[in-house]
Amino acid sequence: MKIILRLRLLFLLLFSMIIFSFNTVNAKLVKYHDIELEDQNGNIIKLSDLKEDIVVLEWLNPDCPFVQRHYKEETMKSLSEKYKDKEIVWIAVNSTHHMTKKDNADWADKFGISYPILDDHKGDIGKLYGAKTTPHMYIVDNAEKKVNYQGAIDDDPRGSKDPTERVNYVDAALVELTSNQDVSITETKPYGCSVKY
Amino acid sequence: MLNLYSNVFLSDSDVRSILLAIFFLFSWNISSLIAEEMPRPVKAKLVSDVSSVKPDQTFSIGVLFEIEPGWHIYWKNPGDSGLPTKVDLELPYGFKADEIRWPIPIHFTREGEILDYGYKDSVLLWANIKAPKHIENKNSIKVKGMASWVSCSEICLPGHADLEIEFPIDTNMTGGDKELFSKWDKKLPIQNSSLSKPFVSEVNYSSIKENDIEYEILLDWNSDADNIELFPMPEYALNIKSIKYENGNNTSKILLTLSVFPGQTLTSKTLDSLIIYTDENGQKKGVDFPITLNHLEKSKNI
Repeated sequence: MKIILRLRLLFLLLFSMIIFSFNTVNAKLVKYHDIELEDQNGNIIKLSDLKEDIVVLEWLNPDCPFVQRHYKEETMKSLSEKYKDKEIVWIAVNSTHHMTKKDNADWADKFGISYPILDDHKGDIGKLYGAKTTPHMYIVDNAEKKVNYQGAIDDDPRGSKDPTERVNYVDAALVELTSNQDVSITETKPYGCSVKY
Repeated sequence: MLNLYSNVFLSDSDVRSILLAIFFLFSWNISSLIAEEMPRPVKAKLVSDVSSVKPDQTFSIGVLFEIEPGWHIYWKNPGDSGLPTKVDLELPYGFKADEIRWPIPIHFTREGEILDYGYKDSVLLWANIKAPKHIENKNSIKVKGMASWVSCSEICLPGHADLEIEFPIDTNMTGGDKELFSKWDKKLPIQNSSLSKPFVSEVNYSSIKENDIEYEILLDWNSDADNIELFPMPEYALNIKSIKYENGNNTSKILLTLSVFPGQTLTSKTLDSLIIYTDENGQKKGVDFPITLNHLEKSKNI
């Protein structure tokens, strides 16, 4: 009798742990996924082949006014150049269903972008990463296969703040990572247009 | 011969004038074409339920958004994407406005599990205005309205309007669009404390993991209700992880999972939300439903 009771309690404990583990899936940052896509110049870019440990992934859509504002203000370009010599690579991903490699090339030419813009018009990578907006930012640790940050580029969705007063979450996280510190703000709510899968 | 040529050929300044005229004509045509190609799916106008104002009077002013089919603008919580529609009123000295009223929104979903909240076709966002007891030395007053929005279809376009309306003072003019305001007043959610609230509710919580709290919202309906949804209005630091629904016979269970974004601090102990449903007459209705975050505060910073 006692054994049956103990077995029942053990079963209940295991069952609860399983339930809690299902419920904890949402609580973590998104899982790292390798990416292998073609960029605007026809190069195949594979995340796991990159020698850099830290990769910034930026979801974009040239049609989106939020993206247009940031590119006119050179938010992404200047940040990518700031960390170019610090073993950090910047990669943009375009999951817009109707866009092509040429659209990405035209966008890169228009704004003098040298980093890859990956063609994800099928949306597979965007959905794996749970990208919902453009822009939507991820900082990925290629060595440890984990995501260090996911969310908004900054705390100013309307672009109404003085640029010197904006908190750029990606910059803040990269400062911490390049100083061998843990990222203190690992997740924020992203803002922008919906990704047009 | 020279005289003939001087009559036929133009001077340098004439040529420059003609080239400049052609350039401006060309530019105007190009810009007209560009303007025609850019859709303008939202029109905004300032409207009121009165056409003149008297001292100490209460009246309503709002921005009416008319939205082309296939497009939408956003609620005060836009959801996963978009931007809240913004209306600001600039009033003359002594006039006071209360809060902007937001009619019941609808949800929009997109591939990629993207969920947004907003409006299609049209929406009126308005406030009630109280005039001062004395309006001195004026025959009329002007009220300005500034509206900004993002409208989306397959693409998204920002929009902005600076609007103005003038009211004569102290006349007995009748007018204003009372019918419009009455129509939209019926589309407001009812207060949680209202006696006409169609359910009795209970909120329980359980902690799933150190950072996640799950709230179980139980609704016991006293009339038929379908398509029950919870539309939350989280502050920036609050992460809505998931909302799940289970509907029974005149009962509903909503499981709401929340967490605080790491490194951020909540400023409020309440999550404002709406319970949206379709009533027995097929009408979309809503109830204000504030949720006290009693137990989330134990884990994070309130």
